Amino acid sequence: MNNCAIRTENLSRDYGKFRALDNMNLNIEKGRVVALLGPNGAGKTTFLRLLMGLLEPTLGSSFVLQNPSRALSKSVISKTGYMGDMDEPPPWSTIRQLMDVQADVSPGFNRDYFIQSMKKRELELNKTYGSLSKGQKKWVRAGLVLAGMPDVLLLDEPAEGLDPSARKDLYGQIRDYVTDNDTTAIVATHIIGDIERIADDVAIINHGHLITYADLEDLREQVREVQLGEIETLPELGEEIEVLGSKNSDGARIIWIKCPEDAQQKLEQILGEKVVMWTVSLETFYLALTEHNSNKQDVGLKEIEK
Amino acid sequence: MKIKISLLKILFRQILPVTLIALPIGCLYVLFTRDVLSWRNPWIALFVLVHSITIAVLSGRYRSRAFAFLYTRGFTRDELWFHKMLNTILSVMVVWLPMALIVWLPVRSYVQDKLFISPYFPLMMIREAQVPWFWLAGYAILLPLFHYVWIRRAQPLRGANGAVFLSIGVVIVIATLMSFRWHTLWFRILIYMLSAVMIVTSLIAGRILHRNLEVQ
Repeated sequence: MNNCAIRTENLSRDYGKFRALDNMNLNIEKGRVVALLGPNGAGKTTFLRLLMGLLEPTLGSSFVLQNPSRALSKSVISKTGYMGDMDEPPPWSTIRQLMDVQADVSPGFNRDYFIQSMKKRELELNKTYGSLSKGQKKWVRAGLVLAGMPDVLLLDEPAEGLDPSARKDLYGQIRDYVTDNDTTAIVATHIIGDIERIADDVAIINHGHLITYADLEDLREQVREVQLGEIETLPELGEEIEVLGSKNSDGARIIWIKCPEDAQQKLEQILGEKVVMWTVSLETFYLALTEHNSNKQDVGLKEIEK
Repeated sequence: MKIKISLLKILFRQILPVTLIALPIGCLYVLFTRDVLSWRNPWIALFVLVHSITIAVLSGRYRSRAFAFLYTRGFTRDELWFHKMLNTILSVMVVWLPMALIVWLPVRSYVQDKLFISPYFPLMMIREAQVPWFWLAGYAILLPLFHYVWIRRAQPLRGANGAVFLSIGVVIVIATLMSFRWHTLWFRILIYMLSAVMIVTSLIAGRILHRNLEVQ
């Protein structure tokens, strides 16, 4: 448990009658980079805001570096780099003022790192935040977060709205930081291609539920996409083969399964015909869970509570 | 609690314009008005009222987003509240102190005596000397209340308008009291005590709201 950087216990949050996050149990070990995936409105932002103590949970609790989120000590907040989707610096503040503010509260703030990071994008320190483009704003905020030398990173859609080149640069900067500093990170996004390169684990949430929390490598090894012929209903595939989702495509049925190594043989035995099976990308897996299987609540590849 | 100049600078920037506008208006009025200043002066009461409302509105203008940002930098909720209050005090002092100094030094008495050849001055100087303290009391009563009202009003909660009506009620009561003759000592003591209770209550309620609602 002491190796946990982030822990949540039955974490739930309601907005009026709407339950945005439901019974989230998650333990994230130190040094892991977790991609938090989910469609818009899945509960990603609520989850990160609960972790930062910006929201009060309706039920349950959460801990960052062993500190309860609603009572994070100053030292823990300054060790936690949070880049939210819903909070912004005052538009009249200059980049230099923001740097000074961050340096005031982060004992390990690295001014050189920040200034170099701004130079990369040709951003002058006396520019006001409000006068920057969307991409520049994201860059400044990411720079502030990373220059604070945090032990934990909580990033909510860090690259949303950026052009591909800026997105690549931003994720490159995040990747370099987490690699060099053995940082624990949660990166919430629905742009999967970018995060795939830096994540160790993936957590997928939908409608406020944690559907999957898995090691990305395990996921790549175990999940397969299978193309079947024209079938109306899916036959019973046995306990060993877990169906994660399915869809019809040009008359054929495509299913996503979590399977043992000899799954192809078993499937062919059950279906009585030859099947084509291949590994899936994270994006395909994500879509299988969120779009093509909205009823499925839990197909955990890894024990959610370690 | 340690004062963080960098935070103060960022927060003060939002009320800087109103401070810079209020300063010459207040000073010029105090310097050039020919009436003998009394704590019942309706124009200065109106000035204090408008200045207080503007400070509360402007410092709460970017409330949640900016405060959430600053909180997630590493400032505690209490630090943010403390600096917000410090900011308010700073804006009031930048305006009130020069106005008071004009009365006390006595620049006003000199201008009224020499420039306008007023028959009241410099005799009235001593009587006017206590008046700036009433202006300060006005700020002390109104600002905590308006901060509370503005935080409350900005939240999507039921009863948010109740706080607005409460503040309107308080302003009407103050305006009514200003027209009274306060002869009896017990009445004065009662009003002072009620004012003190209101200031403390507004400050506590505002701080609780700030902790629970403004930073989220």
